[in-house]
Amino acid sequence: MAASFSYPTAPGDPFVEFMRRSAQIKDEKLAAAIPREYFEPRPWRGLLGFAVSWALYLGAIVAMAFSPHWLLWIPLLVVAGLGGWGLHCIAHDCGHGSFSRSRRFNVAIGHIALLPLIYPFHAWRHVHNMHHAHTNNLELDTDWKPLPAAMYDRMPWWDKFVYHATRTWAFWGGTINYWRVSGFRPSFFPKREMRRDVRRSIWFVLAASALYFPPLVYFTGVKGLLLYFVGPWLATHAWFSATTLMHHSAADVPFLTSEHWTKNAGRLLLTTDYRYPRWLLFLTHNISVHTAHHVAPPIPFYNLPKAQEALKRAYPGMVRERDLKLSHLWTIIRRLHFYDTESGFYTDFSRGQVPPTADGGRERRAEPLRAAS
Amino acid sequence: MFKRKKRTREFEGPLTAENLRRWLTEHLADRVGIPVAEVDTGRTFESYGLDSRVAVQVSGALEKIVERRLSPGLLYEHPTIDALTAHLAAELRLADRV
Repeated sequence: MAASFSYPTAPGDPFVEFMRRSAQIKDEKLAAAIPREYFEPRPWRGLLGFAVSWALYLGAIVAMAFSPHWLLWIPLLVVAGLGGWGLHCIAHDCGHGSFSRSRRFNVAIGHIALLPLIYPFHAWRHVHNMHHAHTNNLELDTDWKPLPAAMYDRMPWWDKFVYHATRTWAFWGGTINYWRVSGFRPSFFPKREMRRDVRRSIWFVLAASALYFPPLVYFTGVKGLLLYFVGPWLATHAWFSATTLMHHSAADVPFLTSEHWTKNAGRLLLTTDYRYPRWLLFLTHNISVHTAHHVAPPIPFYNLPKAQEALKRAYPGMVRERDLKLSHLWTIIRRLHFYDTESGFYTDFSRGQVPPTADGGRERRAEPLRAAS
Repeated sequence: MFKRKKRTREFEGPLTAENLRRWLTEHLADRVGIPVAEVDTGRTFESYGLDSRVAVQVSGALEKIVERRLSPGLLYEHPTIDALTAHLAAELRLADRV
């Protein structure tokens, strides 16, 4: 039975090459490549981001209320979602303690910034820390971890349905599923202090909900609830899911068992950054400058581009950057479904091996490796 | 509210390999419904009829004891009480006893 976790069973050249790069940086102090002054928070700059995202979120909702035609709701929901997602990115800095030097202030802003998602801040923060501590670890990562097909086959039908949906057509609901599984469940967390934090955040979300939802429904009806809260909530999750899925899933980026995984590989080699247009970088608070963030989570978002440049100079060819194209997301939801226990990369739902290349073999059709059993 | 009813046995004493082994033994005895004295620490969890759902629950309960995240597949990787204790003791650098 012990052999069941000795994956991959048939590592090919791409896996061997990955492990060579991983060994190369194993003992490096990666964060030392980033100048110390980039770690210094400027709370006013953070608050500007916080205000911009609230303005975007609330502005889009007000615009929906006065919209002359319902067709305008759709682009306005995308904008509201972008505002809500920007707020999440602010809470993200708060969670890493990089919003300000005051822990209390960070916790307060973090709780408020996650209200559009009704996400208990500490629950999100502790799960996110687990993701940082085990990025792309097949056993211990908390985000978008692919399952081996054999494990999927043994799951109950509902779990299968959720897994199948959130890795394909309902990818936008992936983070809703994480919220459902860990947001309101203190027992998810190993440490007693974590469970205490999480219970407090749950109370905060419940109190805010009790104050906000009854008047919202009273004055605007169920339609108002759907349009002014549920719609933007779904749209925010769509941004949240798409972004986080794309950061750590690529046909040529493996998930690793603990035997092969190292802290430094998790920090430097297992993230894909996307080059956003400037306006999108501004509105998402540089969330796509993600490798520097994984190397040094205490860096405030406005210093990440400079930090990333420093990292690229120190480790040429190691930071993965791609242009932002919808085709990347398309490849992920169309092909990257299961952890391939043979290669260490991916297979799709029909058990066809996905070539570990930058485009996931979009040009060619891979042959199924084995019969779907 | 939000506090789960304790269904698992309390962990008693300091975290040592011996206490961990004792907790696992008692926990397994509770699960399987046999006296503690009849538990063989060298026998696999699977042979006691523990399925994957229980294995995940046990690793979840263990997380609370060792206060760190553990692989849900832990009981498959270390399939006996002896193997699991040895693994956790090495991983957490535990003393055998106080």
